[in-house]
Amino acid sequence: MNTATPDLRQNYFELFDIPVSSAVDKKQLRSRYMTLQRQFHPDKYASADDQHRRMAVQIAAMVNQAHDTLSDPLKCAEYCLELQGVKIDAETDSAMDPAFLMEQMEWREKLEDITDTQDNSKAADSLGGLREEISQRVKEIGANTATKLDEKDTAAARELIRKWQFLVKIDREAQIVGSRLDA
Amino acid sequence: MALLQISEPGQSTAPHQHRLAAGIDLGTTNSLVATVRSGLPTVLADEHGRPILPSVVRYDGNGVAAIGAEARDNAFSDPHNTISSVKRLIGLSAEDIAASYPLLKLDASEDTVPRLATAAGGKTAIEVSAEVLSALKSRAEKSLGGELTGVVITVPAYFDDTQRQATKDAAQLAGLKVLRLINEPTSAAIAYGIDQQDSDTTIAVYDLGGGTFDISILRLERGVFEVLATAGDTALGGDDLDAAIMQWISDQSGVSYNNDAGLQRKVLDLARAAKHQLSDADVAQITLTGDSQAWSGELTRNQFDELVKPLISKTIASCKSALNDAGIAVSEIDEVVMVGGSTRVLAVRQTVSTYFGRDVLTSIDPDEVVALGAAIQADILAGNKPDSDLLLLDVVPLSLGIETMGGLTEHIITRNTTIPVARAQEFTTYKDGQTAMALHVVQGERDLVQDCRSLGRFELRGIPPMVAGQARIQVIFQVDADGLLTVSAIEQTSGVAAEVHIKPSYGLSDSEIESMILDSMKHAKEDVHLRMLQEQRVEADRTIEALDAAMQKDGDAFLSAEERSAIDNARHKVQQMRDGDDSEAIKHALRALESASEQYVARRMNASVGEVMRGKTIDNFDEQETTS
Repeated sequence: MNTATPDLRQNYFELFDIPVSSAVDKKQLRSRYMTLQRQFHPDKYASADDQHRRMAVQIAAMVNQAHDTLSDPLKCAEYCLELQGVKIDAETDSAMDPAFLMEQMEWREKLEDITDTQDNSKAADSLGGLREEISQRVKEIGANTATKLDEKDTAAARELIRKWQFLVKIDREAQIVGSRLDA
Repeated sequence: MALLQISEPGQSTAPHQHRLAAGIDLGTTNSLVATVRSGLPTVLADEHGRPILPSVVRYDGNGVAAIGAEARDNAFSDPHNTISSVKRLIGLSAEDIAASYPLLKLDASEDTVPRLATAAGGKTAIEVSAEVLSALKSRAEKSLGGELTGVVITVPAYFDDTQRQATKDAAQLAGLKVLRLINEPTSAAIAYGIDQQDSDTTIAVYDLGGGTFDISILRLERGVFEVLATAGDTALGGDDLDAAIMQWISDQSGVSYNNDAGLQRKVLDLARAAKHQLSDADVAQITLTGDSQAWSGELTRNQFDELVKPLISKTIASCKSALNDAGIAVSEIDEVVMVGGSTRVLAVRQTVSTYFGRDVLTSIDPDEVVALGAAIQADILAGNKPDSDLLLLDVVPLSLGIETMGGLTEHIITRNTTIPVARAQEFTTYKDGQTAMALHVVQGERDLVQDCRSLGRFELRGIPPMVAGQARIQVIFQVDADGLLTVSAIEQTSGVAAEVHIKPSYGLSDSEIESMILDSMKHAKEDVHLRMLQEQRVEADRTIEALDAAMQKDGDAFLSAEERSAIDNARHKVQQMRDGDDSEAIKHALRALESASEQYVARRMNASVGEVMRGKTIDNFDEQETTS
C-alpha cells in the first residue's frame, strides 16, 4: 500500500491524478476515488494515535470534496474555470443573452402550468417532456463548455456555465414539482 | 511526510496477538453484543443463555437494581424507577422530552441536561444507556476472558450530530473505547457478507422494528460501502401490527379494553401470539377468557394480511422515496436485506419481495443481524484483519448550515454528502466597524432557521474594525467519520480564529428528522415566499440604516425642506411595509425611496468624489442604496 501523504495544496485533478478537463472520465475518477479512500479513510487509522487520526480526517475530507466537485459536471466546469483564473461570481455581471432568457421564461411558464394541472398523469407526462428538453440543453452546454475550456476561451466558457447554472436550477425546481406529484 | 507510514492498522499489531473487539447493537427495545470467534461472527449470550438484553434499567435507592429482562419484568410494578426505550431520548433537550413525552417525570434541576427522576436520583439518557452498555461489556469480557480493545456501536442512519455524540459519551461512561459508530443498515448488509461479492451491488435494507421503520439504500463498490439515501417512519413498527389485530379482536368480540389496562394487556398478548402463529400457520385461534368478555375466534392469514396491508403500504411508500433520493430505479436493486423482528411477518416479506421484484434475504436472525455486522467491523478496525478491503463510507443525514441575516438558513453541507467532509464558506460583516459576529449552527432542510434544529451558537470576536463587507470570515465545518461536527471560523485578513464543539444539550427526536425532510418538500413554495420576504426586510433595514446615517451627517446640507420631507415620507412607507408580510410591497416602497433620494445621492456622490480628491473617504451610502 502506498502511504505517501498527498500534498493538500494540489488541485483536485492532481490529487486524483487525472487530466484536467471538465469532461471527466467517470470510471477513472471512481476508481481513483476508491483507491484514495482505501488509503486515507479514518477507519484505516482507527487504532492510530490522535495526530494521525486527525490527519486522516483532513485528507479524507479533501478527497471527498474533490470527488464531490469532479463528479458533478457543473461543479467540475466551474472548478476548471477557476483553475484558469476566472471566478464565476454571478453577482458581478448579470447580463444574459436575451434569447436564452426568453427560453427560460417559457420553461418557467410551462412548469407553472404543470403545477396547476389537475390531472396528475398528464402533469407527470408534461414534466417528463420538460425535463428531457432541459437535459438535452444541459448536454449541449456541457459539451460546448468543455470545448471552450480546452480552448482557454474563459469568457465564452463563463457565459456557458452561467446558462448551465440556470438550467440546473430550473431542473431542480422541476424535480420538486415532480416529487409533489408523487406524494 | 512520513508520519502516516507507521500507523497502518495490522502492521502495528504484533502477529498472533488477537485483539478482543465487539459489535454492539444498542437498540430502542433490545440490545445485543457480538464478536468474531474463529472467523465467525457470534452473538454473546448471558449466563442463562439469553442473547437479547432488553434495553431496560431499573433503579432503587442504592443505585442500579437490575438491567435487562429482570428490570423489564418490574416495569409494571415499579414504572417510575424502570427506564425503557431510553434511545428515544438520547440527545434530546428537556424541552424536547417534555414536548414529545409529556408523561415522563423529569428531575427539576438547573442543569441543561435533562434527567429522569428515579429513586437513585436524576439520571440522564446517557447514563441509562451507559448502564446497558456496561452490562454488555461485562458480558463480553466474561465470555471472551479479557478486556475489550474497542467496540463498534450501531446507530440509526438518521441519527444527528448530538445523538451520535451522546451515544459516544455513553460508551465512554461505560469504559468502552469506540472504534467507530456505524449505521445499522450498513451493519446488517455486512453481516450478510455482501461486501465479499466481486461485482458492484446496490442494496436495500428494510428494517421494521418494534416501533420504527427504516429503509436505506446502500451501494457497494469494490469493498466500499456507501449509504446513498435513507428514509423511514419513526412511528411505524410491529406495535402497529399488534394494534391492528387488537382492533380486530375488539370489533369481532365487542369487547372494549380502552378503560381497562389489565384487559388491554391481555388482548395485546393474544394479538402478539396470533401474529407469531401466522408466520407459519394459515390460521390462528384466539381465545379471550374471563367472565364478561369470554370470546373465541379465528384469524386467518388472509384476514391478517388485509389488516396490516395499509401499514405495509406505508413502508413501501418510504422505499419509493428513498429510491428517489438515491436516484436509483427499483430494478437496479440487487439485494434486499430484512432486519427487525417484524420482518418475520410473511405479508411483510411477500410485499417487499414483490415490490423489489426479487427474493429477500432472511437467513440471518433479523434480531441479531445488526450486532453481527458490527462485530465483523469491530474485528477489522481493531486490526485483526489487516488484509480486509471493507470500507464504510457514510453520509450526513441532515443538512448542516448556519443562520444568516433575517433568520435564513445557509446550507453549508447538504444532506447525503459523504463524510468525513470539510466545507469552508466565507461570510462578511454587514455593519461598519463590526468587531464580533455570532454564528448559529443549525441542522435541517428548511429555509428558515426557526424550522431547523439549533445545534449550537458561537461567537467570533476580535474582528478588526472594517467597512461593512470588507472582513472575510471563513467558517469551516468539519464532520468526521462518526458523523460528529466541529465548526471553526477564521477572519482571513487578520487570522483571528474561534472554535466550537457542538454541545449535546439539544437533539432531534426521530420523528422530527423525518418530518423535517418531508416538510422541506411540502413547504418549498412557502419557504421561497418567506425567504423573499426576509430578504426584502433585511434590504429595507439596511437601506433605512444607511439613509439615516447619511441624513444625519449631511441631510441638511444637501436637501431643501421639501426634498427632505419627500424622502422622509418614502422612508416612512418603507418602514411601514417592512413590518407587513408582502415582499413585493417592500420592494415597491424601496424603489420609491430610491427614486425620491436620487438627487440627494447624486449630490453626495459628487461631493464625496471631491473629497476623495483631497484624500478623504467615501461614505458608502450610495452604493448600498443602488443595490436594492
